Amino acid sequence: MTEPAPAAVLSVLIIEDEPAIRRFVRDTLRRAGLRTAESDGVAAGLIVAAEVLPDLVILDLGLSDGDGLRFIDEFRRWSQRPILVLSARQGEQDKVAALDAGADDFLTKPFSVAELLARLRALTRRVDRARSEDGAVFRFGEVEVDLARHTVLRAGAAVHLTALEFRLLAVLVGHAGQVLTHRVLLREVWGPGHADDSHYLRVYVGHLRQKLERDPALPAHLLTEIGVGYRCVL
Amino acid sequence: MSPISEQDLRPGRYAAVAALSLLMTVLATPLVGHLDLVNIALLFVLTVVIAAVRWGRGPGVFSAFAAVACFDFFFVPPRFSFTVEQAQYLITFGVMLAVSLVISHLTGVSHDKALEAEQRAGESTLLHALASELSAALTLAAVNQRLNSVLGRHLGLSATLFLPAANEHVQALLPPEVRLDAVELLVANGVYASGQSTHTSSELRDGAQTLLLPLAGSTHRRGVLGLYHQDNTAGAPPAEALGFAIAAVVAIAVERIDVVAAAQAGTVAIQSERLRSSILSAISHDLRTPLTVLYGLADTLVVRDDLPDDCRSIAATLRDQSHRLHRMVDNLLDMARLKSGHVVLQRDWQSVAELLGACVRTMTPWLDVQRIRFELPADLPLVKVDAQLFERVFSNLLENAAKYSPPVSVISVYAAVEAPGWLTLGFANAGPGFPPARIDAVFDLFERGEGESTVPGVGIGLGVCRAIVEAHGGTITAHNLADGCEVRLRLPLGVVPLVPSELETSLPLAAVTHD
Repeated sequence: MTEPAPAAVLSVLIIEDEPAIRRFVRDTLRRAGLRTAESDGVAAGLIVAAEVLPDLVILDLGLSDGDGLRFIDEFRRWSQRPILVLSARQGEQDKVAALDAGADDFLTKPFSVAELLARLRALTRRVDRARSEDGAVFRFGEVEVDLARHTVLRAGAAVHLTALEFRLLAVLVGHAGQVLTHRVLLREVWGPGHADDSHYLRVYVGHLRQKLERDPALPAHLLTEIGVGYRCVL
Repeated sequence: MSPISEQDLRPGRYAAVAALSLLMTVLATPLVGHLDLVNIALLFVLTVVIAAVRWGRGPGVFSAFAAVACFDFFFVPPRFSFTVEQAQYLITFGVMLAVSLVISHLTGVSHDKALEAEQRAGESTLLHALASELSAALTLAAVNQRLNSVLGRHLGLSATLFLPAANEHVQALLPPEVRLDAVELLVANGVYASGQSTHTSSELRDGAQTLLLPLAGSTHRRGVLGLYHQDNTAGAPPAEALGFAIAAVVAIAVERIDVVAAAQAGTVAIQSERLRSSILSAISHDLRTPLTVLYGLADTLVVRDDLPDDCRSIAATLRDQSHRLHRMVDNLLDMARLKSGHVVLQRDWQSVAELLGACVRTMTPWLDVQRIRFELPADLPLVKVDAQLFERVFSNLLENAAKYSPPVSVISVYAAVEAPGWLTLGFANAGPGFPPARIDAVFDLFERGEGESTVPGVGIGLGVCRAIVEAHGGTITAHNLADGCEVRLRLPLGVVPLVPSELETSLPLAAVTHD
């Protein structure tokens, strides 16, 4: 099976110091019809990024020449293009730090080709949506969320959400395709004083799943990234 | 007034006092007729002063009586008789005796003071010498050796150090050639336990008395100090006050060495832990990188529809096997980290249902989700666990359940609060179950390193599960059921922090009541 390429030909910068991983990521992306540029470190990556102005960056967190966080910092000063981070399983703190620094999503090694392309698609879709003016209505599964009119419909019927549930849902769908860390969600929904009250999220995400997911035990759209945060998949 | 001391009782001194009195008699005899008897009496008072100053109170008192006796016998008429002609001499004797006694008492007091001061000076010299010697000692053996050399030189004392060994008992720190008295050790342990000093006599040292003193450290007792005279003939134990002063100095030295040793042990532990974790992270990077490459490259072949089916099927097998290998590496590294005992749990309030759902999603390519039946009540309490580690527990248990049961059979996962304060989680499958004889040992196959299972990988996964669950204060058990088997987890529940409830007035603007 081949993945359909995104509409426009996007350029992706791959920053990875392991040549073999770089190679298969590059082959996968080219096969999917994307343009690629490569670099094996933070310093070189920043130079290449300034040259090719990539639409998307795939960044390995365990680079030998320095912390991938430094790349995120520098890159975010002049570009808001999505950054997908690659990381090892252990190191939830590293992932959270990268996401808090401005990365959009992460993939844990080893990852499948299909998963990589799905993540890239989700990230580019978010960029496309941000470009279009019609950013207020989101649809996933049988659910339709209208942020402007504060309505949530499920299979055409209105769903009753509390104010906090709605605010949480709004933040999640507004950043669909992106992983939002616990800290970010708590700050956005409950305010800066509740950054450590992650049990609020367990309860409220649970409520949202009960109300919106077809199978709350195996959610398809409001996903948990264990130890990191939550992601909404449209 | 201090009692007459041991030194005052030495017989030689009294002989000397007697001789002095007789000498004064001989010297004064030629003066009879030239001097008044009263002046001769004063000469005898002089002998009392000399005796009291020279030898202390006892000899002084003795010399007072000797002086009166000599004066009466040799000088007061009738001479060479104790009888007295004139009654006035009785007054002379009385005054003479009184003056002599007062003088001998006063000089005795100052004599005692001088002796005491001398002794104090000696003791402080000793303690100073001891402290400076011990401050240079770097080991307990050196403390013992220097202590004995200083005490031997200054006081003729020997010392035994009793230091705590295992089981809250003290052991004597002795050179191998010295035998230890079992009774003394017993008494020393009593002193260590009670903190009260005591005496004991040792048969090995001909019944010589040993003074046993606790070594009081700043936080707890550091051991016991035994002191005894090197020459056993003395028979008496060393003075207790001095003993306590010595014990205080020794306690400081022993405590200092203990603290230095503890600090060094801490440093070594930190260094070896750093080494261990850097080795682990290097291994994990070096093992995972090629596995990621293998997995990814195989997967790129699987998705290529321009390749023949048999090639793609081989590529799929490659991919799946490298995934299995990767999981095994993860389990091994987790086990190594957990067994090193230095894993810091990142505990947070978690929803078991949520963790299970997320876990199943990551396993989707390898696990048929249709087989899993969840029985999770909506009102399950949150548990305070390390989410990442419990993802590992759940995925290992689900993987095992799938591996050891028929391909389309149901895997049921349930959770319930069955006993107050405990959350029970069950993972049941319709497989053949655990070997009944070893049902309790299935979790420690990995530990024992026995390849008892015919299906590889089982021991590692369950071993890791047990290590994680037990690190959280829970239990994990295996059970055979009539129609399958089950692994059961019990996790302690805590007091879940409150989630403030929302006021119903803060409804979204356009929300419509759901019919």
